[in-house]
Amino acid sequence: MRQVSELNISAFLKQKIEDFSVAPVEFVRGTVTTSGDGVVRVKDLPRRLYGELLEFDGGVMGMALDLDENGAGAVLFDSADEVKVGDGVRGTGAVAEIPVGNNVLGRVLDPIGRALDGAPFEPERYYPVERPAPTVTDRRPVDKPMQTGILAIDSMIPIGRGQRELIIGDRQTGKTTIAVDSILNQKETGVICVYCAIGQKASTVAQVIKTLENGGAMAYTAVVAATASDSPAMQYLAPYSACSIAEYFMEQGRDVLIVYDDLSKHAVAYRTISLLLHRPPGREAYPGDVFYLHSRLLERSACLSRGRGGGSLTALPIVETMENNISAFIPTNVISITDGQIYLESELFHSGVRPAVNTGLSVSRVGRAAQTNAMKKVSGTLRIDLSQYREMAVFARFGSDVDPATKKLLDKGEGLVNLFKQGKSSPYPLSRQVLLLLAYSQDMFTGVGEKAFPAYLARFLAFLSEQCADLCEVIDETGDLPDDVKTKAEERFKAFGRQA
Amino acid sequence: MRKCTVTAASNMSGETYEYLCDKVRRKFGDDIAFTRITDDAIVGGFVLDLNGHIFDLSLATQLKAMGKHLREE
Repeated sequence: MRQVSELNISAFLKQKIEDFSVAPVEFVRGTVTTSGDGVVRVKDLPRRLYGELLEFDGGVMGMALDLDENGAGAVLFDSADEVKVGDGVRGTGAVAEIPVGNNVLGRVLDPIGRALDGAPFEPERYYPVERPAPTVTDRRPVDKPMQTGILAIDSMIPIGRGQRELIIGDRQTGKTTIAVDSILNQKETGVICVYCAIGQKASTVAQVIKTLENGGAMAYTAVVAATASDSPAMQYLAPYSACSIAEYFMEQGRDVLIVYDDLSKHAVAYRTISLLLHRPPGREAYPGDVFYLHSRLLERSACLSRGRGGGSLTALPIVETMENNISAFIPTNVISITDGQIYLESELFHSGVRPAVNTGLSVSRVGRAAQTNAMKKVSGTLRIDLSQYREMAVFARFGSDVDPATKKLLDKGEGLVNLFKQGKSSPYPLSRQVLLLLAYSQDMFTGVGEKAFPAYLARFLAFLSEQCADLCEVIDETGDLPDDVKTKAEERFKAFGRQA
Repeated sequence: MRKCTVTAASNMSGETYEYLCDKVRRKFGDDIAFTRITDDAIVGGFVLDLNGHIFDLSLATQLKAMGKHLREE
């Protein structure tokens, strides 16, 4: 597009038309031999590409997935009712593509680039949905934080730009909430977001879009949706399409956050297609290449080298478990592909700990490399504190009399657990997180009690906004907690303690 | 005997049709039975369907290809 603005438009068009050569379009017309459940087999269609788009009589589109000498097995993107045995089919010579560019932001697209939000859409340019992952030399180590705004995650399970962090847990444990809050927290940070809904209920997707709109996040977010009522082919394609949209921005040197919600439904869609294509089933009836299905997708996330523009693509894939079973086939696959996981537990969720992050089973393999200095200074002992508290809390249940040191440890631990409870759609900026944890280290939340805690925290947050705005500014701007700022903060906390 | 369908946007003159059939026979052999149909959706030019092997020289396809060429950077 830049080329056009730099040249005289009419000369540019003339040149383009002169360059265009008229040539016959030659192709072979195949015939549909079987059709059912969105999967068809065609014959007399040799020399097809893997993933090539096929056009059926009546304009229905499909994609070739199984190739043999004379024909292909293909999945349909649209209604299977419109394709009958004996219908003609032609290969288009093109693989599936998705519109990319700035004008996809704020839009809701299906996996082949059709706008689902009803507004007119003029694509700028296209990327193939399947693209190779950046090579080893194209990458650099992950060292910059991707703040989620969720205190428990940013302090103990830090996510770096270019990392792949799995969000895993049973249904109704707040997986999507964490992902959506992470998107909301990117407001005014320059990070572009892509939310990909796979096999979700349309009402759930609508709710997510509403939350993003209300939080002002649609301005920097694109949504790719293949809902539960879409064909398995659309659900299969959705994350690859969303990834291509994200890659476009990454290649422009931008930092991008992509959410795949969720990959267990994606695996199920692929299993459906594979079984209908008569591929041999393996464990849990998934086909043999189900690991590659997700590894080739998640490998496309990267932190690019300076030579490649320095952009990054951070992935938050979501996987749903059954009965907390993280050793099932798909969860173990995705755990092994990603650089860590945030494990959400239904027990914690129902006991009121939200986000219900199990800090023992959650891990970030990038670790502290992806934390700001300020966060490193205040979060060093949190994991140990929490595990000591949990251990002591178990013993304390057996007897009411505990020594003062243990009582203090229990009270402090309870304060930390309460501090980590965070409302939906209310991410904390870095400065608030740092000052909250600093206050925790100063025992500001010790002995507050569970019931009184929300009101106490609200007062403390208001105090931070009113009395510590200058300190917050320094922390947010520098990402550091200099000694003088720390000392000032501690002094002001004492004043708050006296008021309280 | 192979079948070949010639599709044109409007009725092709007999002379043009015969010329086209002659060219096809020379290239692919004499055992071809020709039929012709009209379809204004192709706008102009013609489309040959020789037993499922399509040669598309229609104006509609060429315009589509030119549109794609213009959009490419």
